[in-house]
Amino acid sequence: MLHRISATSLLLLVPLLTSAQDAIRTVNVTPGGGVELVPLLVRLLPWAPPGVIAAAVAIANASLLLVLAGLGTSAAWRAFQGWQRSNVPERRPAAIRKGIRRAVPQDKVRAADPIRRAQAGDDEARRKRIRDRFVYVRFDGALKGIADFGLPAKVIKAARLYFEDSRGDRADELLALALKHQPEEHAYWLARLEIRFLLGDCASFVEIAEAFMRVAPDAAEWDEIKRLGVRIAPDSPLFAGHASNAADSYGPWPTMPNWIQSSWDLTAEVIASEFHHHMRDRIQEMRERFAHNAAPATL
Amino acid sequence: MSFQHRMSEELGREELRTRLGALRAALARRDIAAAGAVFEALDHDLHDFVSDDQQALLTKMLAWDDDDFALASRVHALHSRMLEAARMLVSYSGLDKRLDYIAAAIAYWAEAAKWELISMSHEPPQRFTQLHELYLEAVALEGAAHGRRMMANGSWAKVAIEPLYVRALVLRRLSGGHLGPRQLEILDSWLLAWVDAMALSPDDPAPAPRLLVQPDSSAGLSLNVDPDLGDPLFLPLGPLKAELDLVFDFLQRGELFPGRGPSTTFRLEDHVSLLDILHREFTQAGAAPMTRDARTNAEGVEVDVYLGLGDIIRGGFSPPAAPGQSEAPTNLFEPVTTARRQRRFRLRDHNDSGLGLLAPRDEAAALHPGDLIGVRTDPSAPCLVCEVVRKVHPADDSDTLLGTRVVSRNALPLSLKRAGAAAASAPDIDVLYVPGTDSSGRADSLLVSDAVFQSAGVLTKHDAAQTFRLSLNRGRHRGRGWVLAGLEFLAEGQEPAKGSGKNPKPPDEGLTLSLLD
Repeated sequence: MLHRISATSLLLLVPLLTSAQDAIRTVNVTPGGGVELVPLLVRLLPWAPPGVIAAAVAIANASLLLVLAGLGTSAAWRAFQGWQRSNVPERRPAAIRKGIRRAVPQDKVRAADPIRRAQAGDDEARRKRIRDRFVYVRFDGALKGIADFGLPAKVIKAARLYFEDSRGDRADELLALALKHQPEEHAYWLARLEIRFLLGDCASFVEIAEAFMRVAPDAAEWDEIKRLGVRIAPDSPLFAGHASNAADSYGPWPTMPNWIQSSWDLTAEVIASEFHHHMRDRIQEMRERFAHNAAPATL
Repeated sequence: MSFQHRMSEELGREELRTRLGALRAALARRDIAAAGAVFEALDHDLHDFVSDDQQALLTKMLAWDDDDFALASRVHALHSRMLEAARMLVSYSGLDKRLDYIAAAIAYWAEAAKWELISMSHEPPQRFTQLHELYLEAVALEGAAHGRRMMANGSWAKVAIEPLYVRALVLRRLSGGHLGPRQLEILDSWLLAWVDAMALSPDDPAPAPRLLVQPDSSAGLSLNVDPDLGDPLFLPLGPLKAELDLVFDFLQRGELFPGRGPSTTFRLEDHVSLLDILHREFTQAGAAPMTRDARTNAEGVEVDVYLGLGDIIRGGFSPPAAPGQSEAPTNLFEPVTTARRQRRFRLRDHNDSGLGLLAPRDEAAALHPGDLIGVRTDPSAPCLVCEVVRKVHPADDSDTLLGTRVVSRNALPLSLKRAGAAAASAPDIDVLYVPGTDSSGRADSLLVSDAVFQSAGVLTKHDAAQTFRLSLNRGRHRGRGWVLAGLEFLAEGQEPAKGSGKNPKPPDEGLTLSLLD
C-alpha cells in the first residue's frame, strides 16, 4: 500500500516539475550537477514572501523523501516477489526430472545401502528404517518390519517355525518384541505361553502367565492357561485353585489349545516328504554318475 | 577423489612421517623430554591423521586390493610404533608421567592387535606379556584407575587403565579369526562404551559366567586357572551381558549402538551378527565346553575349492577339469574371461562337522567368516558346501588357516525359473537343495543368494510325474550374501500365507518360480 501512495504523490508533482523545467535553465547548477532550490523558487514565485518560499522548500523536501521512500519500497516489494518465485519449485518435463534423478552424485548412489540411506533421512524416519531393518535381519526375513507386528497370524507363524527348528529362544524373543509393540494382543501372550509349555520351561511359563494376568485378568483363555499351568507348575499359587483330573494328565488332549496355529492339514507335510524322497533319488543318481566319471545331466 | 583432497592427504602423511621421525630421533638420543612432547602431540593428533583411511578401508564393500592391504599394514605399523614409543617412555620417564604413558601403551597395544588381524600383518603378533607387564606396573603404582583422555566413538573421553586393559584382552580373545574387520571395529566401539562394566576382581563369581586372566602368564583371557601360575583376576560377564541387552534396546528403538562414532556407519547386518557372537560368549563362558569330534590330520593334501554360491554351483558339481584344461566358451559371444582357474587349497584336518584348510594368503585375503565355499575332497564326488567360520594368519607368514563348518555333504544344484506373468522373460535362478537330517522333508532347505531370498515368493517344480509348489518362508541360517532358507510346500492353487491382520499386503506378483529339469 505504501508504495502506491508514494507513486501517486509522484504523479501530483509532475505539473510542478514540468513548469520548473524552464526556470531550471536560468538558475545556477552546482558542481555535482544538482540545482540550488531557493533561487529556483524565487525565480518561479517572485511574488511570494520569504515565509512562503520556506514552506515551499519544506514541502519539496518532504515530497522528495516521499518519492524516495516509494521507490525504495517498490524495489523491496519487487525483490520480495522475486524471492517468492525462486522458492516455488519449477515444473520441468518428466524426462528432464528423470534425467536429474539419474544424475544424482555418487554419495546418493551409495545410499542404496540401507544404513547409509537411513542416515540421510531425518531422525524419526531414520529410526523407523533401522527398526524395520533390524526386525527383518534379526528374524531372518520372516517379517518385513515393525508394521508386521500388526499381523498376529504372520508373527505367530514365524515364531512357530522357529520353535519347530529348535530355536525356541528366538521364537520367544520375536513374540516378546511383538508384545512391546502390541501389548494388548492376546494372541501373542497365548503363543508365548504355549511355546514355553511345549519347551517345558516352568519358570518362564509362570512368569509370562503372571504378566498376562496383570494385562488381562478376565481373558476367556484363563481356563486353558490354568489347565496347562497346573500340569507344568503345580506349585505356583497362580494355578493353585484349578482342579486337575486324570484326563488332563494322561493321554492326548482333545481340547489342547493351538495358540501357535499349527496346521491340522497334513497336505504340506505329505508333499514335503515326497519332495525329499524325489530329491534323494536325484542326489543318488548324481553320485552314481560321478562314480562312473560321467558328467551329470542338466539338473 | 579430488586433487585438493589428494594433496591434503599427501601433506598429512608427510607431516606424520616428519613427526614420527622426530619421535624416533628423540628416543634414539634418550631425550625423554623432547620425545615425550612429540609423543603427546602425536598421540593427540593421531586420530586426525588415520581416521579417514581407517574409515575408507572398513566401509569398502568390495574385496580389498593390494593397495588396501598396504594401507591397512601402514595403520597397523603406525600403532605398533606408537606402542613401542610409549613403552620406551614408560621405561625412561619420571613417576609423574609414567601412568600416562602406561595408559597410552595399553591403548596402542589394543589398536595394534586389532589392526594386526585386519591387515593380515606379516609381523609377529602382539605379545600378551607386554600387556600384562604394563598393567602390573600400573597396579604397582596404584594407578589402575588413572584415566587417559582419548578419542572414543567420535568424541574425547577419559578411560581408566583397567578398562583399557580389559578392552585389549576381550578384543584379542574375540578376534581369534571369528570376526571380520567391520565386526572387530564395532566390537571395539562397544567395548569403549562399556568401560564401566569392565572391572577385574580377585573374587571368582562362579557359577556366574566369567573369564579370567593370570597376569604372570603369556596368555590372554581364559576359562580355567593354570595352577602353576599366580593368582587370577576374574572378569564377571554379567555386567557385559547387561550392556549387550542395551544394544538390543538401542536397535529396537532404531539406533545403532553406541549412537555415534564411525562404527554406526556400518551395515546393520554386521551389528546384528556380532550380537549373536557376544551373546554366546557372555552367557556360555564358564559352562561345560562343547565337545568336538576328534579331527583327522589330512597332511596337507590338495583339494579343489569354489568360492561363493555361483562358483560352487558352476564348478562343484561337475567332474573336475584335467590339469591345465580351461573351460571353453560355449559360443562366440561369451567373454573369454569365463575361463576359470581352478583354486586349490590344502586340507589340514577334518571331522564330521568341519574342515581345516590352508589357503594361500592372496587367495584367503578376500575370504571372511560367513563366506560360502565348496570343497571337493574326493575327485569322484560332488563338493561339500561349507561356511568359513574362522580365519587365522600364522605368525610364520605361511598359508592362512580357514576353519570351516560343513553346511551340507549332499547338496544338489537346481535351476529354477520364475513362473506366472514374469516367467517368460525372467532368467533361470540357480540354487542348491540341502536335504535335512530326517526323511520327513520338514528340515529341507534351499541355499539361495540374499537377493533371491528377498524376492522369491513361490517355487514350483514341474516333473514328469508330479508338480511341487513351494515358497521360501524363513531363513534358517544366514551368511555373507547367502541364506539357507526353509521351505513351505503348497497345494495346487494355494498362495503362501500373508497374515490375516488388519492390513494384509497384496501377494507379490511375478515372483513365482518354477523349477526345471
